[in-house]
Amino acid sequence: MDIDIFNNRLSPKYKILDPNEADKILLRFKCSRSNLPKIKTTDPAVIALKANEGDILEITRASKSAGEAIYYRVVIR
Amino acid sequence: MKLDVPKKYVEKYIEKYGKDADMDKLQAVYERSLITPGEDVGVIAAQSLGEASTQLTLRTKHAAGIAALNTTSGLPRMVEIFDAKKEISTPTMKIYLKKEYEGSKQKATEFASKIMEIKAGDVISSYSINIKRREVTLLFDKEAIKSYGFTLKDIEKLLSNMKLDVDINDNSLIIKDKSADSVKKLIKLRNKIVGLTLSGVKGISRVIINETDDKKYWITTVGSNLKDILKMEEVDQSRTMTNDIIETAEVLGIEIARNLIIEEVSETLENVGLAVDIRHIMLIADAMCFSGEVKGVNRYGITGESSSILARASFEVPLKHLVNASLEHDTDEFKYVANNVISNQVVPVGTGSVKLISLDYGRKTEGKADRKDKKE
Repeated sequence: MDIDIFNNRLSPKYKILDPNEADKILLRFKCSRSNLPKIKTTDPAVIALKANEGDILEITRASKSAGEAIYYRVVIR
Repeated sequence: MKLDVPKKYVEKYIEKYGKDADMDKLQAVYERSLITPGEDVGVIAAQSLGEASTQLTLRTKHAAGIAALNTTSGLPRMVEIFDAKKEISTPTMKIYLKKEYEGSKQKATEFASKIMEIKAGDVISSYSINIKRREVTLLFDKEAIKSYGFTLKDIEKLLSNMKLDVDINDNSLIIKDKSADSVKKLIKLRNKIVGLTLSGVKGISRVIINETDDKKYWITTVGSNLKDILKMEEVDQSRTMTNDIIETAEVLGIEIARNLIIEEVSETLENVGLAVDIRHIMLIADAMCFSGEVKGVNRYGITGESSSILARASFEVPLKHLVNASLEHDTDEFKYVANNVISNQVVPVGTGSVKLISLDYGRKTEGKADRKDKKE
């Protein structure tokens, strides 16, 4: 049986942002890609999502303090 | 800028005050409750956890003879998590089974015996090495082999698959290795065979079956192998976890590892009866997972990555950092807390993080140049 990492109880929801949305995010935080938190191309989540280097992932976490929290990570090698 | 109030609070607000409640009021209260810009959250997080950890037990408790597991707790466990140790002292897994399996004790026991690792060393009673004939003779315990449910032939097959020259002689196996020219090589060969996994999942050395109040069975283990366990048909992937954070990061990804850090730290603190706000733990977990891999809070991890020389030097092994910095002609821009404290300047935290600028048209002021590298 294959491992389905998105099925885990601690797994957040991932979404690959399209270039338009990605630019909006960078503009909103007034930063460049290199300032964002990172995720590696070897990460199981990136492999499962088939994301490419330079993509920005929108991660919706279940948060104990805010209910739901959105986090961004940029895919790096 | 208007901030979005989290759904959780909006729902609760509506629940309490009805649908036509004043949303602007909620907005105002929410914005007031947020942390102020420039607040030194890192220092506060460090203090909050540091104070609590002074009350943690320094020693791991050992309960001899009890079937329950001995997991590292207290301060040693905290150090282990925050240092992002690759090999933790007591790896353990909590394995939950799918609905079809968790209700029956028999099925749970069957699964437990399936995953328990049995090494060749467990069924070998003695061995001898013959240097002249270049062979290792292993004497097997016949009853032990029988109780685990396999035969000597199975072991022979396994060894021949490894391209070894094996002969069966009554209860013992004779392994010849013509290329071995020293005792050392023969002993190496023996150690290799003793450590061989005959059945089960590699790394799972003990299995304990637990029962919940509503007669459901789940398994805790000594040793951890998340990848192989999750691949098994009977396992419920959504709930099965290990306490090894580095392993989790490799198998399930950095995000789940970050959540596991939070869970493990709060659990460790809760077990001793300490209450630390989860936001502090979340901040540290985020800092540890920022670079895409789990990094410890030490000079090999996130502190070592700090761009400020003085900040690094004030943490651990100052001389090494200062010497290296002077050799490499490094610069320190005095942007952070530690270096400004050392040099007796205003720390860029709270009110110190803003600067007063006068917009005097036509004149170039010092403030304007400064403003460019300040965040809003």
